[in-house]
Amino acid sequence: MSVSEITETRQYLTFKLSNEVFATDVAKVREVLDLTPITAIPRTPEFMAGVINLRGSVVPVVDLRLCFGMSKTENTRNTCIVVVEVLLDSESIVIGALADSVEEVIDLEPEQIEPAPRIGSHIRTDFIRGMGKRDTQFIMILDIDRVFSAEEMSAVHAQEAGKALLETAA
Amino acid sequence: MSQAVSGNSEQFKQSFREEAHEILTDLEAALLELNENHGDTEVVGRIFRGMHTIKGSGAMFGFEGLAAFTHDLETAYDLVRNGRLEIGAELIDLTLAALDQISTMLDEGANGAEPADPAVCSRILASVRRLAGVKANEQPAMEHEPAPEPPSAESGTIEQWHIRFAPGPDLMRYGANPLLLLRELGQLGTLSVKAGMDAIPPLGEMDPERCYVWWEMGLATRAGRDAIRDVFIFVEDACELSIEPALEVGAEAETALACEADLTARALEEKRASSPGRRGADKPENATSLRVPAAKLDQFVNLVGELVTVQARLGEVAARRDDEDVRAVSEEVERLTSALRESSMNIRMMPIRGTFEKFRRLVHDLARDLGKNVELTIEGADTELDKTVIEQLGDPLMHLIRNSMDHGIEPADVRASRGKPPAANIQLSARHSGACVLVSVSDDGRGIDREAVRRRAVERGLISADAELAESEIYGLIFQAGFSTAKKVTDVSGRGVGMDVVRQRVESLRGAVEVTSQPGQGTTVTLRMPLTMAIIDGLLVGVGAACFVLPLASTLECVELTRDDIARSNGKHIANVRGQIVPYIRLREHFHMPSNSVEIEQIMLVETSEGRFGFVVDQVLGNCQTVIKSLGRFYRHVQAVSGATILGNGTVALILDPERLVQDVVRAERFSGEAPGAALGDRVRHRASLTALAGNGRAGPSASASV
Repeated sequence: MSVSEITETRQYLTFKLSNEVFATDVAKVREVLDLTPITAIPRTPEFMAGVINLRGSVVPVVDLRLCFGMSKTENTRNTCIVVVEVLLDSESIVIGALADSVEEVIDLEPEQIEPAPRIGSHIRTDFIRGMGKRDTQFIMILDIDRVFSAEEMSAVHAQEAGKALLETAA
Repeated sequence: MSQAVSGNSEQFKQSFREEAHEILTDLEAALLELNENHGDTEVVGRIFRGMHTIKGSGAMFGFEGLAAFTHDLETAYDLVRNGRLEIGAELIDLTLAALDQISTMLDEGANGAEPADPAVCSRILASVRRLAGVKANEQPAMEHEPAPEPPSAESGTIEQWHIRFAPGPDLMRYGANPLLLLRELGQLGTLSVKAGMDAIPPLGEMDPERCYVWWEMGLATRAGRDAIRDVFIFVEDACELSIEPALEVGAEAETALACEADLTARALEEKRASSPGRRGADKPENATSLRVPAAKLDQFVNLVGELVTVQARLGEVAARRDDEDVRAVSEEVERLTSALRESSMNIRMMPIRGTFEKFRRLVHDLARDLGKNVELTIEGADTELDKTVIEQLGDPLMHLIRNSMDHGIEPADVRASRGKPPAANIQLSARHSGACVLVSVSDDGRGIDREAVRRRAVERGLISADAELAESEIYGLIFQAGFSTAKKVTDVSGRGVGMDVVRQRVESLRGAVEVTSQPGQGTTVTLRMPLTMAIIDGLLVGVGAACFVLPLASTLECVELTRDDIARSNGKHIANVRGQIVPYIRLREHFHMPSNSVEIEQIMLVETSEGRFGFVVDQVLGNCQTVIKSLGRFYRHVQAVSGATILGNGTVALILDPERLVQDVVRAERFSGEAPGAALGDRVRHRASLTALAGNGRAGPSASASV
């Protein structure tokens, strides 16, 4: 979905990674959790932080900072897990995303949102649906489906790279 | 009637479909049995009854085309039953084709299935008629119209029957139409009907979906009691039915009497009281088994799973509090949950027989198409497995059997020249082994040509020309996608797709595939499947702060590993357990966890297909009932972990798959020639994170300069 498809006022949940503000459509967000113990899964890429117990279901958690080329998330009092529901290959799955802090829910008019600049945002442009402007602040509105399907792909690549390595070792 | 049931009619149709498919499966098995022994009249009877059932209920639920089609088949088998038509291979093959056709017709319109091809229908029917007609000069019924069966011209005297048919309140809700039943009855002979309408309530109180009318009938027919009962076969459970021979002389009088509803009712009351059990011993199993939709069962098992999780929490709380009462209750709950869990798992267990029997047909058809003489033997069909596993096994087994038949088994002349019996044998077997079930397909064919596989793999660039591969690794190559040594692609196999499907499907069920083969002697492919997919007994072990669960069924014992032991072993990961040499894997190293090891570690000995192995952990925490939760698609490529479970304290523990873990390490060690784990693992991890980074860095050069 690109910025041109945003035609109505929508609500966005904003959160911080490092000192940058990101936002995602509230409709995608199931809930926001305080940081709970994350069980790491051995021999998986680092950005796949592990799994948590969400009222009896096992939910994977992704370290978004690592996805966006920042350093690993440090656990602080403000660290949260934003639980989102994303569509991967038309299958709806629940994933947790680590955020340094969750800010607020805001309304953004379509005219407050501009297309993402092609360079200078540090982040793959196809992950960003648009740049929201509020006062003097820029908010990067994420295309969360895109982010996770790309991350899934790279996770698969990583695993296959591991396998290929085993095979070439012969 | 049609209005009354229209709302539910699709539901009735669906349940009819399910039942009919079951009957078709039985029919198929019976036909193949008949193929072995043409003279078995008992089997012919079974086939006839099955067809009759499909025809009868098909018509009742609006599958007229299907009923008409089946009718002609039934006619043919009636002739066989009466000894006027010989059973031959042609008739059996034709009937098998017809069953497929019926199956297609059943699914017509449901879930967008393809409609049946009328041309195929009429071709089959024409052949059936030719067979039946040539041999018996019998005029078959018209196509697409359930022709009334004329009062059978068989020998036998006309008898008078007195039938009382009182539909139960729910009869019409089940989708039955009493009028059709009466009409069918009328086709058996001369029928006089009297309706009892005394039970019809005033209009205001009437339930339009309920049948208030009952019927008294006098029937003069040559057909026997069974034929009459057959008419009511689908409504027997939902009605009161009595079929009594009426005295020849009194028949007229009785019919007349029937006009007086009150009197008759009373008379019949007496008759019913004196008649033996209405249904007799027809279907004794009905009383003891119950059909439940699979979804309900799944929900039930999920709830039990949640209960087990809650119980674990309760246990944890009870252990923390020093309260005798709480502990007693907690123990009681634990005992009950454990029993409940076991019986709920048991409900999901089904014998694998049904899946196995289905392949008789496949083998029969393939043997004919390939011109090979093949026998299928089945062993351990009563072995029980989780229903999900059974459902998923069909495809892999089919591919394996096709492969065996096409590549494994030699043509008859080759077999003869090698001194093998002319009839090849394919064996399907299932047996329990610890927490697994071993399902295997073996043939006595030519075996796998290891050199050919190797050559092909080198050609395709899968391995280097000088690679040294163990036997099992060569066999592993045949499961690669697109791998085939077949020189030509046939209808049956050779495209190199089948074995890949087998491996993927089996692995998605946490199973493993093993191949053994003797050149010239045959091949055995064994699928090692987990017994259950839902809840297992596990052993909780701790490594550092992390907890892992090992399936209890695969663990053997626990021995200590001290620092001295490690020092003495000169860096080799081998323990001496009562004189036996056991290689071990240090989970801490294998999983790259921080290495501040404890003074005395524990080696958990586990049994795997690769032999006995030890897993070194910091401590063994005890056994626990483990509800298996999937890690989801994000982690679907993780090999050594088969799932996760939620512990009493609410954290998630990973369930290890000893089989995969050992295979990982064995492979790593073979390739690296170093101590298990460490070195290679590091390399894998390094490469993995590099790729992950590369994936993120695609945005541009700025990615690395962020933060």
